[in-house]
Amino acid sequence: MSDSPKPDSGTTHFGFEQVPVGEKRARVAGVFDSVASKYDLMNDLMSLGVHRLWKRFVIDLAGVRSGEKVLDVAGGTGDLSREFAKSVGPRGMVVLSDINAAMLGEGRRRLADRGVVNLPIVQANAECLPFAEGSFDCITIGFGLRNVTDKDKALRSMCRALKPGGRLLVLEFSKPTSEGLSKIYDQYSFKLLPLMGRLVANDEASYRYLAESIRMHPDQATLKSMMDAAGFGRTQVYNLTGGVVAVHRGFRLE
Amino acid sequence: MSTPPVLCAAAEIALNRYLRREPSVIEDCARLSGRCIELALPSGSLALTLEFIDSGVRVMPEPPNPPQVRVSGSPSALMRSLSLAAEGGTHFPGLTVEGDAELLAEFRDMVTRVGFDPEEWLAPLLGGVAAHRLVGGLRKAFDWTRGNTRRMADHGAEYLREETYDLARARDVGEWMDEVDDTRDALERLEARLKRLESGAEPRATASTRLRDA
Repeated sequence: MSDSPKPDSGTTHFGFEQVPVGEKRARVAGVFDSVASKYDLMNDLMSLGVHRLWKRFVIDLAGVRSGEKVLDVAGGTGDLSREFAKSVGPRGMVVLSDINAAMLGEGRRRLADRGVVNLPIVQANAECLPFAEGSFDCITIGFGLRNVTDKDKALRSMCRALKPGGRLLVLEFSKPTSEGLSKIYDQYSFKLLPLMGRLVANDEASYRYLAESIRMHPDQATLKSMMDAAGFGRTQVYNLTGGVVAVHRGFRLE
Repeated sequence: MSTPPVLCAAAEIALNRYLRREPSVIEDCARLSGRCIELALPSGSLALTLEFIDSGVRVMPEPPNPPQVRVSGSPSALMRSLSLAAEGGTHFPGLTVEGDAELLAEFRDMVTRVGFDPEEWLAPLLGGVAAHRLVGGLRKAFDWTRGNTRRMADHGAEYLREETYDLARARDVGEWMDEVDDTRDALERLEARLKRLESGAEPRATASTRLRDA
């Protein structure tokens, strides 16, 4: 199964809605323009702080070494970039990229607050990354792939930007592995999440979209097969918190 | 059964952090890039595969290709094999090895070559001087505890042996066991003679009876 837009109808999903392909990007941008300022606070509230552990797992699994080049796609507020910047040291390089200028602005401000100022920040679409082939040792995309219109194209683009032997880590919401958890998670996502959005960020619709977009995102096995089809090898799925979140890691082998 | 991916990830993170402490080990990993070692528990209940890559090792639940060497054994046997290697041993006691044992020996050498220096681990957290003092203090405390424990056990054993006679000395036990063995042998010989007499069998001809008959 692929998650590309339907070529005949020219539509794709935006949450549970079908929208014209050209419209999705603008609507996703609208959501993130709206949530950017309270993004981290909402992440902490929504995940009860567990998102920090998920990100820690990605950082450890990435195993970034001194001197390596890392691209943080859809890096938003720069949580991953900040940690990678410590690992690569002065000889390496971390590029923070996001399609959304508001999120990048927020990321730049937060990085500067923590003393990280020498980090290139690039506004780029994951579907057509503006980097030469084989530029990076490691690419990560944390909670970003589900908002990309053409995921297959984005995966191919990231594969191209990796050096042979380089790895891509996708951190994304996924499908809970147990029925019981799935029911609780549904209630949480569609009842509590929009309510928190309304109370804390005064934006119920954006947080309803986040919940819907999670449901429309490919499950673990589908995303794995998409990565394999995009040219990755040794692809492995790591379910966290009962599959609520999954990390997919694949390598560009050639 | 293959190991859950999250456990493989934990093993990979820990192993790579350890191996990366020694740059020459990472060079060796790069040289062996693409080669695989499958590790399994004896019953086959849990297995994982290590694949060498340029930056260390990749740990996976399933081997991507047929592994060059398969090792099965208990975790304690694996640890024993590592400690033997540190002492210069070249064999793998308690492990079943199928395939390229040289690759396994190379991996074992890499692991033992890295070594473990607690001062180096603590220095980034506490600073060099504090780490040195802390580790030195801990070593002294451990040595003191170990020495005192050993002395206390010796004194306790001596008291039980010499004062209360609840414990026997090893030499006395040895002598007693030898006597028990002699007694058992004598008893067995006597039983054999009695059995022969009871069955009415002809006693074996002795030199004196043969002379008398002649």
